[in-house]
Amino acid sequence: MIVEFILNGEDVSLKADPLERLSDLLRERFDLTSLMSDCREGVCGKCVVFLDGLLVNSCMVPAFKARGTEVVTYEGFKSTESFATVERSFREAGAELCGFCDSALFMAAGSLIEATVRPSEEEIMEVLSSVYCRCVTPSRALGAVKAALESSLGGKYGRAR
Amino acid sequence: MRTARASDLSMVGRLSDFPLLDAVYVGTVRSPVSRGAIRSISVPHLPRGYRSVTADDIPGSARIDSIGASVPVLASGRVAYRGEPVALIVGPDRLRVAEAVSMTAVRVDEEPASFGYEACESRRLVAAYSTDSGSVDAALAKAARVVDGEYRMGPQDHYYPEPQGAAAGFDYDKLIVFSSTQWPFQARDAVAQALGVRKDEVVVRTTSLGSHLDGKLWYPSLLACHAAIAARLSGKNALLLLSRTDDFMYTTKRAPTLVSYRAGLDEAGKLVAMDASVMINVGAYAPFGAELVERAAKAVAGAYACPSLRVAARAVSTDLPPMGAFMGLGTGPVAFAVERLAEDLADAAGMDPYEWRAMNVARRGDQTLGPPLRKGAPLDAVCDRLLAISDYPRKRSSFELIRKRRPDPSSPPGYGIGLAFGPQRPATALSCRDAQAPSVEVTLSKDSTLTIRSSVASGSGAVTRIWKRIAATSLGLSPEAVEVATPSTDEVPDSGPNVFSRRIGVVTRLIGSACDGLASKRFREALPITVRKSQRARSAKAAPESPLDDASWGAAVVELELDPVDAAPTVRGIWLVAKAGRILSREDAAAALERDAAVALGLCVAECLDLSDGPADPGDLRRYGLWRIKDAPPIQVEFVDDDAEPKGIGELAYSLVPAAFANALSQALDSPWNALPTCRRSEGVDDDS
Repeated sequence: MIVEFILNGEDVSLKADPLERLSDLLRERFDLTSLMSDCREGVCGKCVVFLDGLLVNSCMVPAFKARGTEVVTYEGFKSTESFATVERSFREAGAELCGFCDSALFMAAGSLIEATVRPSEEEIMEVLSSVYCRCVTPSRALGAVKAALESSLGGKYGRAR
Repeated sequence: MRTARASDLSMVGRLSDFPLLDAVYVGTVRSPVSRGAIRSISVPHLPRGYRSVTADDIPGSARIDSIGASVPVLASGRVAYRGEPVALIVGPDRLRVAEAVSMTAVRVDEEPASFGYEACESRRLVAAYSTDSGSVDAALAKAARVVDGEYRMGPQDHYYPEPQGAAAGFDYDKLIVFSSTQWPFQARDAVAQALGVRKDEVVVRTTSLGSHLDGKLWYPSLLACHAAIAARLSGKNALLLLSRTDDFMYTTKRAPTLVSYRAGLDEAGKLVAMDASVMINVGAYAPFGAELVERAAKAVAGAYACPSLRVAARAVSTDLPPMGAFMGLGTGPVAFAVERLAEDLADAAGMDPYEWRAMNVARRGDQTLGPPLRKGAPLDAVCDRLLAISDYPRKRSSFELIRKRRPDPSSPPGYGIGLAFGPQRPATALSCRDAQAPSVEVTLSKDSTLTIRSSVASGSGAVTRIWKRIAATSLGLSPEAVEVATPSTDEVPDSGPNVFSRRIGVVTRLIGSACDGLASKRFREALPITVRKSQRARSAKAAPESPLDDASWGAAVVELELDPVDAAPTVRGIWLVAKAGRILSREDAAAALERDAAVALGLCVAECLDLSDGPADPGDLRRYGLWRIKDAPPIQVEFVDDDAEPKGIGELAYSLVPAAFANALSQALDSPWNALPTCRRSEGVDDDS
């Protein structure tokens, strides 16, 4: 089948098996190597993309589901203001990442900023937990996301919802 | 035709990013059974551009030397575990390679397999280490109280951020191998052996390791051989990247360990005798088997003095995939066992656990752990602060009151707090070959930039910053003028395996020493100047020293509460205090220990794998609960001021948190909890319920 969708701001169209994983399609046909897909069961969260603004594990999305949607991968996310905020906050918080899960964690944090609501600490940790990561220090990651939210949403973090 | 060029292959961070243009994929055909004789390997008809590889096609040695063991590159004649590689399928399309692998039939005359290790036949014994001091039997006979205990640590997966693999390609006359390995020189030697070429014809470049938990010590060498053979036979770049399922089922796991003690106390509660046995299931082939038993045996008394000590440690080979290191070699399960035993002994003596430890801790001159200690174990220095920040004495007294006065003794008290204390042995304490004289090289160029070369990857920004800062300070340079070379065996000296916090305990010291050496030559010799420093092996004539004299020390407290309905533990907090010499970056060290403590706790309460009835299957992976960031409790880390040389802290949390957790759980349940992870059923408690 022909799958047409918007990928990182550009219209794309390609022939694909309807059940081909979106992660495979993005990585192998578009060479978007930021996303990894090693568990292929939606467990590790390293293949996350924004699908119509929602953070999803692309290994669990069949190609036909991508038709007519807008897909943003880490490569596209990197050009946004949210990315700059998140990346700076992680750096300033000393939340070091190992190079395998940073793109997914940044996008998870970015999804909180894009949502423009003030999540609780538990909600932040829940979202960060969608990515399996043994390399980040939990309190540093939390601090980084809180700082990013403060910076982007303004005001003292957590005061109003 | 060999198509690869160095320029195409120089930058590979993750194996999954290996350039695939004109490359071949490598699929692994595996043994379908755990033990037997191979009758035939039937490969389907393969299209042009595809080929199969069996042991007969290996250009060099069919077996590689892996740290005291000989491991077949591809099984020939016999198979020793289910999933053992018996052939490779090499071709340009990943899916077609996978299809050909699934269509290849391996017929094996199956033989009965053995997976248990707690009672073994002598032919299964692959390594043993024993030591005996004092009169153990007489001391136990005279002891006022004798306590028996069995402590088990189950197998666990390293769950790497990227499954294991390797890639290889020719750069003119050299084979470049990309491997996510902790020991690139060991991988280089293995590949050279398998290809039958000189070592300098093979270059191993280390790709990102990620969180490896010491699982990438030797297994990447085997995969590197597979990729190298595929590249050699196909003449193209070759990539072998295991699926998550294959990585989970067939690569090394934490070696299951059973530690049994019979310990005797005198009337005052002083430890007078200890008879210990350590059994380690090393799976097939047993690389590091001798290292595991020796390190386990030497750690069996923990931080405590015992005048009569007998230890017998054994590594048992079974028909499971090879087992081995998991945040240290053999010492983690023993640290858990001895700190659980300490709690049981305190209980038997009717003493507070901290008071018992204070009474029995090894002091200066003590010889329980080998040569006389120059300094005693710093229990007071570490625990004074720990007990204060965790409020351990008050909480423990309160929880003891709850335990003793609960109205219904059949229900658990529900609250527990546990303490653990112990060392992390120094990075130099590795006795296997090629690990004795690690080297580091620094070069000051004409443009006043300094390059640090070591085969031990810095692995994190924090360590890189420390190395740069030390070098820059020593030579009066800006840290920006210092670069750390990517580990590549043709460009860096062998710094040994990246284990036991070598980055801090060995490499950092050598960098400082090399930079000092360079500073003394700087204005006397023409640039560029290169200085290489190696750690000298101890002279055989030198007086023996206890490895504990150069150990880092730590203690942990874990507080938990049981769910009143299902008795699942919820950890309320972890406190950790370490004494590890001069801390080079307090913030980074605290962050690293906090992360390690969180992961170590996850390994206690989740990540369960039962291999007692056979190797793992895909269902085990689906059931393998992974620790998540949200599961981390509040964790507080502090350091004791210490002017000694910087020491490693990488294993401390993995040794201390499990024991402190189990001690807390034992108090909360009012019943000893002697097996980790907690979902193991060997204690007669079904935690899944």
